[in-house]
Amino acid sequence: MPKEQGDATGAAMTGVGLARPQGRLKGAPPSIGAAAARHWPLLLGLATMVIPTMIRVAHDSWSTEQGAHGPIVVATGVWLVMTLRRDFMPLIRPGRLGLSLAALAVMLPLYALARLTGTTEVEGIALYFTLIAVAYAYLGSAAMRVLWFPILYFAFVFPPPDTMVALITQPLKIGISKWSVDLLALLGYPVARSGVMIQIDQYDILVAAACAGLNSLISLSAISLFYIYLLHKANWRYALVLMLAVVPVAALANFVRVVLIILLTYYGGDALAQGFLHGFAGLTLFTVALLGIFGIDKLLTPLRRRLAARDAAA
Amino acid sequence: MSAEALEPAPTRPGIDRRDLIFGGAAAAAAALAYARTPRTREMKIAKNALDKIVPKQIGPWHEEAASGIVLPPPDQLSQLLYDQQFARVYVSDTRLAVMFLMAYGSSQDGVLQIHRPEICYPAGGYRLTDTVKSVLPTPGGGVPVRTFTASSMTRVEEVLYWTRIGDALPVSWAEQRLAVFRSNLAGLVPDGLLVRFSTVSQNHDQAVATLTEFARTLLAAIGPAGRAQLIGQP
Repeated sequence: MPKEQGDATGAAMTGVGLARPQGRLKGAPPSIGAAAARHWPLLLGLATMVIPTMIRVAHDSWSTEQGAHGPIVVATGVWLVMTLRRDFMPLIRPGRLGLSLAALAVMLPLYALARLTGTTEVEGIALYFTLIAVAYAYLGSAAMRVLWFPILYFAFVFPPPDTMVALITQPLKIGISKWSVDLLALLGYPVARSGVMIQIDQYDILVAAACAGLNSLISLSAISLFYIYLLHKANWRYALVLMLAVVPVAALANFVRVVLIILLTYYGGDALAQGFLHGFAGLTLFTVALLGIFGIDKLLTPLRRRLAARDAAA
Repeated sequence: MSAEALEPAPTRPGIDRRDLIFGGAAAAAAALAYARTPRTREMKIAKNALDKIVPKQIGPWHEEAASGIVLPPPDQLSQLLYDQQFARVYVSDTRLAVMFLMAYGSSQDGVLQIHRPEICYPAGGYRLTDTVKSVLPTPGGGVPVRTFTASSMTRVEEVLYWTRIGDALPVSWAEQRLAVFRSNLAGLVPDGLLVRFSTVSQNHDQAVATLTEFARTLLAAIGPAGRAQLIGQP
């Protein structure tokens, strides 16, 4: 355990002015690792929750198409926190203990219940809020406010509840089936639809959730949000506006994918469409989504300038 | 305040009291979860026994080859979900043919649970009417069942089914999860069984009557041991 370098006159050394940084050069960025290592009992305790839960999340969610963005979000999120350390670390003040404990009184039993019944999504959510409550106790609200985006971003590490996802993806799935057929029919293709089954020429295409790529809706949203934050974090009001466009753009990317699959089936047959599905569909999806965000970004430039000016004047 | 200040230096060396509170609470939650994780599997239906529960003659029906039955898709997920599957077609000179499917998963938990037919049928291209909940009258009390009509381009199918999780007979996804919960809190890993009957017919009332009669005759024919396995009560 690292020894404290406080001197004999403990009362005088409370971090003001003369405080000696713990063994690093003046001017170098503060070290998160050293600060965290002081609190090893906390880290040990948290590890008993974090390690088993993350193993289960990795197994249940990260290995699927819906959850593949998990490890990427962890890595990029941690990186974001590291880049922000000069901004948030000076603002660290202990938060209100009572508030944290109240949150934990709800989250810890929920965690235990979810874990023993094998309900991974609730387990993940409970762990997420537990970590936020603990972080608040140590960092305080000023420091946490600097970290607002990484905190929200980390939520993407955990799988969302099935029913919540279905609520959004079901109508989207039906909508995309309808519009892709309407569009192609307008362009003169021999295409028809019954429910979520699309007939083109002599082929049948079932717009299952996977086919429409709606499983990647969440991954797309996560990556888009990260991109928007990196570009526009100085202008946070604009960043929030742009973030509203994320889900529609992801839906649009899926729409393009379905249209492409229908056309590929029509021109090249079943095998070609399936090959595309497994090969390039993911790439197409992400490219279209990011291009979409980029395009909207350009379109909204006047708004961005206005919000930036307001920020500067404030 | 110096820009280099990390956090107020502790006024005395030693372990931060907060660390013990939070670290201890976290470890306690993890320990509680571990201690109360159910480990006893309640398997009511032994390996390869599903086939043997049901006789080949049920009232006026007798078994014929299994074909044309809407099955759970033979993918990775099904292999994980179901340990045993049973599918037979029963025909009769005096009644409509009935397709009889059972799918059994010996370990139900929060993530892997038997899927309700309202999910399989649409995937197969069928359009479903709203499901009707009702109670199948049996000597021991009723069995809550759901019925719905599934139509595709080629046929209209009437479906009647129930699900058993442990000793419970849930009629919805939410009830299913609750049943798993209750078993878990009692320290058990419940098993799950889907029992589904369907018949092809445009005549809704006749179809429902056929399936109801088939189900009741079946339950009467398999005896208390069979009923314990199919509906959780003898």
